[in-house]
Amino acid sequence: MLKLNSLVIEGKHVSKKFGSTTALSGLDIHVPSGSIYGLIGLNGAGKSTLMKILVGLEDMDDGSLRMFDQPGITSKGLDATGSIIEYPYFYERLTGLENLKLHAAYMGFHDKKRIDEVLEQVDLTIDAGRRVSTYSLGMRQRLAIARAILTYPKLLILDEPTNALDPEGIRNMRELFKRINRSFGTTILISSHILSEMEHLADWIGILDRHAIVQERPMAEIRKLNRSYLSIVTDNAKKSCIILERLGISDFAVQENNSIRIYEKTDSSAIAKALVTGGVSLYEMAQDARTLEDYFLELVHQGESH
Amino acid sequence: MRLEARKIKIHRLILFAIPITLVLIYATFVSIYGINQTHASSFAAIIKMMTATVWDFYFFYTAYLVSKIIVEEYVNCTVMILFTYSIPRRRIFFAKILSTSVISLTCQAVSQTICFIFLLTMDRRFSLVNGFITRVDYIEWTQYVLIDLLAAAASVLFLSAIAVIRKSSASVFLYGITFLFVYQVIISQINEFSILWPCYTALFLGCAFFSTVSIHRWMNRLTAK
Repeated sequence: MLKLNSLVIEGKHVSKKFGSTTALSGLDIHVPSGSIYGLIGLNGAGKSTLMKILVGLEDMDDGSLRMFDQPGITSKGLDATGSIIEYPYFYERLTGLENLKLHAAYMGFHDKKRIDEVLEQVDLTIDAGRRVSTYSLGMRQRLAIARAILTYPKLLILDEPTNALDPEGIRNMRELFKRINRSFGTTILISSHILSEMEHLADWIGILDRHAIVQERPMAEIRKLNRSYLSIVTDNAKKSCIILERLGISDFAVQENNSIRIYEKTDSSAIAKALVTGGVSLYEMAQDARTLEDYFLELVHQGESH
Repeated sequence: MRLEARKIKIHRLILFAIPITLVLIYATFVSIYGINQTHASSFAAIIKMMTATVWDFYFFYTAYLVSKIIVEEYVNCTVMILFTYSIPRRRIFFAKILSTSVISLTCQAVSQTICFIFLLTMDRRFSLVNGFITRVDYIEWTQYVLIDLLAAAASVLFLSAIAVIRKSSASVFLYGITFLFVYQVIISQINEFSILWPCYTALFLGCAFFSTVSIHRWMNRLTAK
């Protein structure tokens, strides 16, 4: 389990309203240093607003924020942060390369080789000399990622960075983020609607619901709580349980509808054979792979259940 | 300022001043004949008319620059990138206003000079103007140019404030017409430099105050609404 003794971002009771519309309400967030923190929530939950507050684009109405162990947003903190917020905006009349050079100049970053390096990492070397106005959405997204990682930031704040990327592009970006996190210890705060991607990428998950974070957990813990199971439906649950115990299976639970969930990894054909041989009628057998999406939706619709 | 120059491709904006100057030269030439039709022209009248005409043209050029340098950042949302840098936001806007001022005032000063040289050259060849140019006319021209540059600086500040408040090119041009009207009223009614200087200095200071307060109040609002 990750230790919380070093937090890059610590927010307490962060609140924000736009007129009469509540965007954030008493939100607490704790992003451990060196982690990949996945922020998930429904549309309108407040993910983008939170990210805008963290990069200084919006002011919070109430609450406190610490970043890099300093109160509020500091200029040093901004220098150490790379971000993609909402849509990837660029100077349309400039080329991809010129946009990156401009960004480097604004950040006071003077390593010219690094620009070529990031362009190669996002597979834009060939298109770097074209105006951004001619880029597709996927190319803009990749250029935005290149801009965010250009200056070796200590913190990356990424608002749905893999939108508009094809499956190969999504996988490549996932590998790139993991590499950056491992090689440079960069903390990554990332939001995404693609929960399967979060499952593969994030170390920590923060679930945003009703304008606040309702749960923050290590991904490993969620996997434990969210285990896959083999579901069997028979005519005699009691007899089925005895047969399973004789097979040496102990990690199972009988559900309200008399179905049995087996959480251990087992040979399903052996179980089926044993049940039938033991005189139990087997009506249904199915492997249920629980995903982060199931966990999230359950939490959001039913309230915290774990 | 150097970064602003790279963003807006400053050389193209400066080249834009060339056709403006050519049009102004043509306008000067035509206006002299126009004045001569109704009464004999004098260098004093020509100089006042010519410098005001140059200012009028460059006012719209300034509005165009403000649209490119300030309004477009908000409209294209690139201000969202700018504001994530550690550079203080006031410094960013100061650089923008300074860039606009330097380009606009420099091009205007050059155009004023070219038009004046054209006037002198054409008069030498075709005796367009009634009388001879004197030292007083040179001083008057210099004063009108300096007053126009002061008014131009005021217009940059005013239009920049409008750009940050409204975040729209149409508003910059529309509100700019108000400023143009004020300039025209002053320059057309008053001939005494002892009154023109305080008038335009007051206009400049007023615009500086308005610009400072407005930019501080409105720059952080990322959209017009």
